[in-house]
Amino acid sequence: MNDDEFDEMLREQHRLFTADISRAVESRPVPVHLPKRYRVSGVLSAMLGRLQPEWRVSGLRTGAALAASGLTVLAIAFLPAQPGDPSVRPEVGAHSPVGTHPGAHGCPCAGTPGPAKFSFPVLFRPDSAELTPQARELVIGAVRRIRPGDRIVVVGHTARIGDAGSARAFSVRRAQAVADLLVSLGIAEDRVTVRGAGFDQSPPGDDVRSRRVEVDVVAPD
Amino acid sequence: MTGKQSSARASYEDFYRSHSPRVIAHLLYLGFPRHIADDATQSAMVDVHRNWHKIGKPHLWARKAAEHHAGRVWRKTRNEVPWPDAYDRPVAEDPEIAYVVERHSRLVSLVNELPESLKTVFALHLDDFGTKEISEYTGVSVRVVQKRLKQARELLQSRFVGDGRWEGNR
Repeated sequence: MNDDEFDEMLREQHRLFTADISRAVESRPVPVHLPKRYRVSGVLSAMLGRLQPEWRVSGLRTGAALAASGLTVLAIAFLPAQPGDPSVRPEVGAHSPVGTHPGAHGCPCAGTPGPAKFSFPVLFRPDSAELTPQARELVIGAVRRIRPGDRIVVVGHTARIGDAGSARAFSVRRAQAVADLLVSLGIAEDRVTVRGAGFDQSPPGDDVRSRRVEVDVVAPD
Repeated sequence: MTGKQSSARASYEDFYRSHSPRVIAHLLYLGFPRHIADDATQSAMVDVHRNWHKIGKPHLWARKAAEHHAGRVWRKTRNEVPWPDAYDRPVAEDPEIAYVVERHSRLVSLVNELPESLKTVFALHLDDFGTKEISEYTGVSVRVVQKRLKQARELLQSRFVGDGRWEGNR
């Protein structure tokens, strides 16, 4: 690929980028400069005159939205939940074999004894398995809550990009980075289990929360 | 509003629609956080409107003004706002912009990673500015602009995988 082709390829990506930004901001009003003498009168006339009909419409819309949300709350409160309803979250351990960890985030923590005492996510930058300073602080803060004997299950995740095999390997690298920090902070290495889930448990699309490591702290047997 | 004023307003609106996304992208390439890039562009566009009749090249002027606004806000807030965290985003941030930037994060981070002297030059080059305009904007000679473009291209090509793809944002 010569320089011109390379430039054209990057410019094409840039054009797609600006077109996406344009779509995101197209509904905004055009910002204009108002001289000081017009600002007060402009605001007053907008309040008292031109916008009144729109206010009525928006008032009706707001009222309808409030009524609908009130009805929804009543329905949730008084209607019995259906057994097959996916929105109903099972109690921890209710549908899992006795003595195994069901996975607080739906992650594959099978075989880990007991339910998680607490869990937390650690976020990563795109295409990086290095901990950011904020992520490091988060882990350091969480270590104080870990008791002697607790087991820690560290499961890495990636965004839904690339093939599943390399994503899984990369997710293990992310999990290992967190595990290494835990060990350096005094957690015994044999208490830490490292796993990589690839993008199996990641939300659809390119979600920033996909690039994470879930840390589950599990009580001893 | 007179005919002259209304035509000026229409031409400003056209300018805003076509250039504000490009100014936001320019600031993002320079490494400013999303919400600052967005706000600084709006402020710069208000300045452009105020000086519409005085500005010779509004496309360059708007970028310069936006850089100025963004730099000022960034210096004020850099110690207050942490690196964007998906679980605790700044309230002012438009979620749609955040989503778009995340989708194109590879391109943005590649330009971000260029050295400071090459970043502005290459960001303007991406936006179809000629070397003469870039030279005028940055205040260096055309020859230096060409040299910096070459250096930036070489650095970026070293990160390129092939087949029109970069290494993925896993």
